[in-house]
Amino acid sequence: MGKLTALVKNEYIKQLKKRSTIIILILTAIVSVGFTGIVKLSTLEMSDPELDDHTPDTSYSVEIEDARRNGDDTSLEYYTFLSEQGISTADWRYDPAVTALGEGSFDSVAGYVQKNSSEDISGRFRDFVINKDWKGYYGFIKDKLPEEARWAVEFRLENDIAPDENMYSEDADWRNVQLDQYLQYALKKSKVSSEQMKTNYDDAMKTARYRLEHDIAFNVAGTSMTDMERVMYEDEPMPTSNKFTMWTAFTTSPSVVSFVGLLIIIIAGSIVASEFSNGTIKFLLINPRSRGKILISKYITVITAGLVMIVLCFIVSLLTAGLMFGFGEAGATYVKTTAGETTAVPGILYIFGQYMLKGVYVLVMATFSFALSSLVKSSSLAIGLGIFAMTMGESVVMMLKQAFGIDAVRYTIFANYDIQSIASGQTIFAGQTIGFALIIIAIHMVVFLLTAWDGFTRRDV
Amino acid sequence: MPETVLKIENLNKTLGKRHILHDISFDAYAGEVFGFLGPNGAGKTTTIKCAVGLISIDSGTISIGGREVSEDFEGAMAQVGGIVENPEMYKFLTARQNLEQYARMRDGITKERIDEVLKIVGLANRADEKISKYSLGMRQRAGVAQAILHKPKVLILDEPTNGLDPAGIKELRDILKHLAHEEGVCVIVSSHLMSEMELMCDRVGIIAQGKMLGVYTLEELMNSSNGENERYLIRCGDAQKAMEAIADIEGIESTLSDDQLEISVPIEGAKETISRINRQIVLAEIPLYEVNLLEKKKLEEAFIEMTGNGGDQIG
Repeated sequence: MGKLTALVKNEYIKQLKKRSTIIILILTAIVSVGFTGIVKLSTLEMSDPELDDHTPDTSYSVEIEDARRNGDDTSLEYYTFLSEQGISTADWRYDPAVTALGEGSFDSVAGYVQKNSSEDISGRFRDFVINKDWKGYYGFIKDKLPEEARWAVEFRLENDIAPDENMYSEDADWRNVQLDQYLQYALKKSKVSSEQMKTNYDDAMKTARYRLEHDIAFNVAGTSMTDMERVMYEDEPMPTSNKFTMWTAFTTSPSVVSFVGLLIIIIAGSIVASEFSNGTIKFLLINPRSRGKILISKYITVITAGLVMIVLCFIVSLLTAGLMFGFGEAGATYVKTTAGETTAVPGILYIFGQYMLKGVYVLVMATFSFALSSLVKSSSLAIGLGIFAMTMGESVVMMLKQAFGIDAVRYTIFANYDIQSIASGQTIFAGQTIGFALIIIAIHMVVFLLTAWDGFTRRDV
Repeated sequence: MPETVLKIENLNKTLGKRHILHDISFDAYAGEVFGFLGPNGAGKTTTIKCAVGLISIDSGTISIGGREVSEDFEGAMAQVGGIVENPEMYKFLTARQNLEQYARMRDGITKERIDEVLKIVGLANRADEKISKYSLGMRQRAGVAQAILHKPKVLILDEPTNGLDPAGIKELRDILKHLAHEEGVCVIVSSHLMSEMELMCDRVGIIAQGKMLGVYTLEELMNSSNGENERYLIRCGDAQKAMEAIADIEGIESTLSDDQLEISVPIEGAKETISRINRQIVLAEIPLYEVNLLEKKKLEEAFIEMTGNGGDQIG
């Protein structure tokens, strides 16, 4: 063991004394900082959703004017009521008020209650609104909601959570958003017929419920740039925080690992081959250390250096995101429900996991280059083929699948090495599972390593 | 009888279809400088590579200090140091950093030992310069430092005088002789130059076209190369005329080369024959400048003869 440690130490010294390694480390840090910087720039271009409608209109002066001019008495009465009561669209009373005025939507909670009641409840709603009696309102509608929706109302009443009169205001209670969404999803779930949609709504409800029960004000899930865009432009059932935080950049940052992969390939592809091209292999191999030990020490160096670089990326991204967006939510939790299973982990740990999953892909490609490095005497060939396989492999597989309909390519390493994408459900092939991908990866790793071993230990130097 | 520290028996090696080494066998002892002599392409480097495990062998055995290379590689390598072909080290490291690399791959080497070997090879003052700044001669010295770092029982140097200046060659010779004769190391030096072997080796093994022609002590080699005749070079006013003047002397052979006369004289009664040759040239009134015994050249030629002019037969 001591012998192997000394050999690994040798390899590290050799790597660190090379100027190329230092450049690689600096590039890694620059790319991590740059990536977060780009996210920061694009958030500056997008308007911060939180800043919109800070002071929602309660005068309805334009609408009242229009109704007067057109002689529309119904509208005039409607807007005059909202104006007199000071109810904006961001007020909890808006829904019962418009329902009481006969404009309720079937999709809203109050609308649902009214349409499913045999009696006319407009008067009751009007009283709740005028008296701002949210306890009365929720107590009244509780039993008229679908079975599944009732939990949110009970939770509100038990914990005495007053609904917001302006949900956009600074002191709005985050729990209101979750409670409202819970109700919305419960209503939608009762209406849709697709099993997939039912599951989606159910997952969203479970996540909301978990956050409420565990008092998790900020959820890391759904905060990435892509998630935010989706939530802003599409009506997807995903509970999210609607402001830019360090997580906006940090949750997207694991993709930096792909770049680290390229740099690791440079190290992996040259660590054996360069000994040949520099002629130093002869002095390396006439020491009382078996070739197997020397090869293992080189592989350990590649793998640990890769790990160190990924961790370096992680730390640099975390610090940069925190410095650019503020560390305020650094302790936030990641809560997500998939197919009924709710998982909650500290956000930082979750992102670290994402880095490690991306790292699997780096591991596979580094091993591939390492094996090539042990077979050919040219570093550039090993590096070139490694980078080609890493960058083009997936595209070639995708083309073969989509343009030529060859499904057999699903067994290739390129269809399976991106465990992180497979884990998040973004796969080229239907029914691609993590278990299957891991088996394919394991087979390839064994083949690569055996090839390297055989090529290196038996070769004439 | 000194200890046998390197033993090669019936070594065979084929590369592709070419049979490079045929049944190579020889022993080398502790405390001697063993010359491994042969023309280019004779198989010297291949044999050395087999001995240090850089290439595999087809058949035969190689043992270093009693450990067989193919069975106990680490045990055998712990007792050998060497330079095979060019002394290539890590150019981006200094000589000292390079030696530290090798120290970590061998057992029990202290910082003091590194300083010591740097002093032995004369690099102590420039040990902290990068190898990329070194001349070929300095790299050769660094290579030697690497080879002797762990005080090996066997030191194998492949053409170690390559790139060294005359003073450097002399210094290296002294170092190697000291290691062998004072410290009991078995030093094996390969070369294609007989003249170099003469100056430092105790015994010489001659290889040509992948076959061992024999192992001789230096005296044996001298005597055998002398053979039946001695050869002399005569410089005089008219070589052609001189050749005619001595034509009647029996048993000698004379040849003209570059206005000089080269004659071969039987060892038996050589002194009398030479004085007769002298007298007859003078009597023929040809100015005689000098008569020289060609001893050294003969050794070199004997080697070329033995190895079948191997230099022309590479491949």
